[in-house]
Parts: sequence; structure tokens; C-alpha cells
Amino acid sequence: MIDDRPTDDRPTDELARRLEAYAHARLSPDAATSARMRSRVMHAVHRADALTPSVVPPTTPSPAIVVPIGARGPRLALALLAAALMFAAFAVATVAARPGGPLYEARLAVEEALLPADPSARAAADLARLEARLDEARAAASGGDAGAVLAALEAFQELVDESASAAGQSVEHDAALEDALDHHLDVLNGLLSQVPDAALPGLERAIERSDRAVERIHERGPDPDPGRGPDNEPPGQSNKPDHVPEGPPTDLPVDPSEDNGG
Amino acid sequence: MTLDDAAIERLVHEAQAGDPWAFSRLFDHYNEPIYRFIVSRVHRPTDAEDLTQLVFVKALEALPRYESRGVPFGGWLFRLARNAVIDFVRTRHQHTGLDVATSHPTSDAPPDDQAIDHQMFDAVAAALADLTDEQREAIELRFFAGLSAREAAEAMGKQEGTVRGLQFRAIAALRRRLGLGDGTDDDA
Repeated sequence: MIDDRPTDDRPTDELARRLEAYAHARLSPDAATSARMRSRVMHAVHRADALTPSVVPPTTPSPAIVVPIGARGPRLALALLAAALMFAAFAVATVAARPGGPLYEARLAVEEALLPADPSARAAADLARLEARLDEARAAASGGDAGAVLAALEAFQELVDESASAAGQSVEHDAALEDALDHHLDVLNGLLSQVPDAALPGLERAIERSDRAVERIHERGPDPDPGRGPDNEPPGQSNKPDHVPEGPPTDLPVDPSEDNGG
Repeated sequence: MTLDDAAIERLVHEAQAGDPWAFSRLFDHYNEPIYRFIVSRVHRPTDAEDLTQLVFVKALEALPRYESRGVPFGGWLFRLARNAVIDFVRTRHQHTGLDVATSHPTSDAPPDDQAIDHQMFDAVAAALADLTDEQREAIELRFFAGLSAREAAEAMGKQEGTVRGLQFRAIAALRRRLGLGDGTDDDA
């Protein structure tokens, strides 16, 4: 970006001053925006770097690239590296997507794909995701953006349903989920007076679904059968004796990111 | 942050070899110009923030395929930005006026001075709105983003002389519109 502008097409000093002042005042990112962008982009860079020790240079092959991953040789390694790089790049690009924005759905999909495989960590991450969706709904409501409120609440409802369906496998998790949903119901009820009219039906649906989810979790009772697996009896129909769980269930879905390169 | 062409080329090679620090330097050098260009096109700062990040992530992804061969890196990067904006506008089916939904305080100047500045910025915005799309893009790339004519030409997919011509006529029009001379000498 060297200033090679010749004098014949250079604006007058006064015009240049005005253009620069205008750009500075109305087009430049503020410090917070710059910091956010940098943080997210560099996160993408480091993820790509962690996944791929070296990016293919344009002329000379990198030694890191030709090291085979597994037994199938460098071609597979290259394909995996490219896929991982694209996946990481896409993942971080979508972090910035706002509810209702063109990248929001993609962002949610990426979030889901990056959930940890460990069941207890995954359960905690799901609670954090619920909280995040609620925060987005709150922020959108305070900005008067009905579309964003609806998008965030729709995502929230889906998560509530998923979490409620997965309940019954850990007493501790169910208690935490019930507490969280109780809190979320308070927040959602508080939003009733804040959201734009267009978002009210969506908000009411979210409240109703959360209510039902709390009831479902509660109905499973304080004494769930933690030994229940997918092939066992559904909750409420078991006559098995009390059984104290010794660890997290091991039959939960595997982290999709492990077999999804992008 | 000022970098000359050689330094940029070196950083690009280092980034291509997987050096995160080099990519961070490129980000630091280009993020404000890219954001300025994008926000001048899409108008909403939140969209500009998302798109700026997207451009750099796309650049990260495409960097292994970038080969200089006379194409300046800045022009290549801004072409990514330009394409991202085109895709975005096409998807959103909206293209509002030039009013930008942000204005950062520029100084601790007294309110009267700030009001004068505000009027001046509105006048500049209105003058820019009167330009043709291509003239405005030339101004945005050359003066808001700070690209060289060669880089701007690469970003716009035009010949360097064409971009200089667009800029020449845009400057004349802006001078007339802002009362900084009738621009006739520039039109010659």
C-alpha cells in the first residue's frame, strides 16, 4: 500500500483532509471492534496452525506436509489437512454471525460439531449454549430486533428439547438442567415486556416448551435409573433397585467433529 | 502500521509456511482498510465486522494458493473483500444509501466543532453518493482503504489506467459538489 498516487489524480489537500476525516470518523472500526476481529481471526489462525503444522507454501513443499498421517500416505494427509484448515476457518468465521444473520445457522452447526465428546463436558457445554442463546435473545430484545430474538429463541428451544430428551442419565446433570431451565424461565418471562411485538409468539412458545421440559425432567423423579441405556426400559417403567452411578454414561454420541472434517 | 511491498511479500511467504505471527502482522496491516472498504459498502458496522473477519478467514484458507506473479497481495485481499461484499449484498437483497450507521467521536472538541464536523461528514457522504458506483469504489479503495492504483485495479478487476481515470473524474466531481473548486481543471 505504497502511496504511488501521482499529483494529477491526487485530490486537493482540503479534499484529501475531508475524505480522511470522514473515513476516520465514519468508516474506521473502533478499538473494541478491532480487538474482537483480531481475536477471532487469530483464533482461526492458531486453530489452523494447531491442526496443520505447516501450510503448503507456493513453491517448495513443506516437510511437515509430507509426513504421512496414519498408514495411508501423504495424499490422505494433505486432504485431511486441507479439510481441517477449511473447517477451522469456517468455524471461526461463523462465530461472528448474529442471530437471524446469514451465518447464524452455520454458526450453530459449527458449535454443535465442536461439542466435547466427554459426556459430562458435553452436558456442561449444552448448558453454556442454552445460556448463550438466552443472552443473544436478551441482546436482540434490547436492540429491538424481532428477527434476531426469534432466531435466538428458536435455537434455544431446540437446545431445550435436546437437553430434556437427554435427561435421566445423570442425577447431577438433571438437577443442574432443571435449575438452569428454572432460571431461564424467569429470564424469558422478564423478556415478555421487552421484546418487539413480532417476537412475542416466539417468546411464548419458548416459555411453554421450557415449562414442559422442566415438567418432563421433574417427572423422571429424584430417583432415576442411571443404569438405563438406550436398549433398556424407558424411565418410569423400571423396577430395578437403586443404583449409584460410578461415572458418566459411555453410550452418548461421539463428538461429530471427530469424523467430520468440514 | 506501515509495511513496504517487500515486507508484505516476506510476511505472505512466512504465513504461507504456517507462521501465525506473520499472518497476524498482515491482519494488523490490512484489517482497518478492509473494514473501511466493507463498511462503506454494506453500511452496518456489525455486518462489516462479520465480513471483515470472513475475508481474513477466507484469506487464511486461500493463502496456500496465492502466488504473487505480479498480483499485489493487497489487491488479492481486497478482491476477496469485494467478492464477499457482492455475495453478501446479493444474499441480503438490500443495498441502502450511503448513510453509515456509525460515527465515532473524533476528538474532545467542543460540541460546536463536532456539529461542524458532523455537517461536513454528511456533505462528504452526500457527495460520494452522487458518484457513479465505479467512481465511488475507486475512491473507497484508493483513499479510504489506502490502496495503490495497481492494487485497486487488481481488486476491481480493471486496468490500472481505468482506475486512475475513474479516480480522476471522481475527484473532480467531489470538488465541485463540496465547493472546493469547480473541478474543471481536473476534468481536462
